[in-house]
Amino acid sequence: MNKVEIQADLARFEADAHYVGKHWDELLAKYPDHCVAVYNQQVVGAAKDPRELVEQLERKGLDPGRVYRKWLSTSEDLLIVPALSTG
Amino acid sequence: MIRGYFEGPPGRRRPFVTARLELATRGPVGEVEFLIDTGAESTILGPVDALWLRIDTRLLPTGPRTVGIGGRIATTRLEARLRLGDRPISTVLRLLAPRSRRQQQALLSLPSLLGRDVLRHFALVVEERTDRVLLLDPDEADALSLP
Repeated sequence: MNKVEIQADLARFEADAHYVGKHWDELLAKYPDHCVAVYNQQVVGAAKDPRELVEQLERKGLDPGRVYRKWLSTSEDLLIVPALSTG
Repeated sequence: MIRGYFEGPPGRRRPFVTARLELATRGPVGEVEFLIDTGAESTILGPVDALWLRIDTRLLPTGPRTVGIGGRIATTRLEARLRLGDRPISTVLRLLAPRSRRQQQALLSLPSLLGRDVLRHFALVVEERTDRVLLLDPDEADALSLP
């Protein structure tokens, strides 16, 4: 795969991220606490178990690695993430 | 210059950038959305992304534990190359290895994190007011008139 194709894949992936951001409220209402999969700005699957969703995509002939995914959480937990390596 | 973006629910938008992930053993495995985290020492591949890319943390060597608010967690390590725009950057990814089912479920919403091991190659501009998330190359940063 050449640089142009890689750039195109990254641009598509980012456009799919923007699609989720733009439709966040409606996606959250439809798929609460689900992992949602978006490809070419279309929802191509959703499931509460990400493993199940990966299998859904593979059955549809999609490469999961190329598909944008997002966990849509109904909780408003503050995101404070692991930061320090402790050896 | 690499451009990222803000994304998330209204009032909780966060800065992200996308990258292609390549593994020494498998070549390109797919695209990943990383939350830009200047507080993270290492880049971390989130649990959903690891599942999604068929990376089995049980088969990887153990890495250092990570600690944050909420406790410590085991990690594994994986040599990888991230391609941000046209910039390839080699690094060692950390993958969280939650042991209990409850811990696994709690971590599903955790995104992948772009830590300082990668961010140190860039100057970072994050400005929500103008929707700017920019990773500048050193020559671009040097050209700015900053104190």
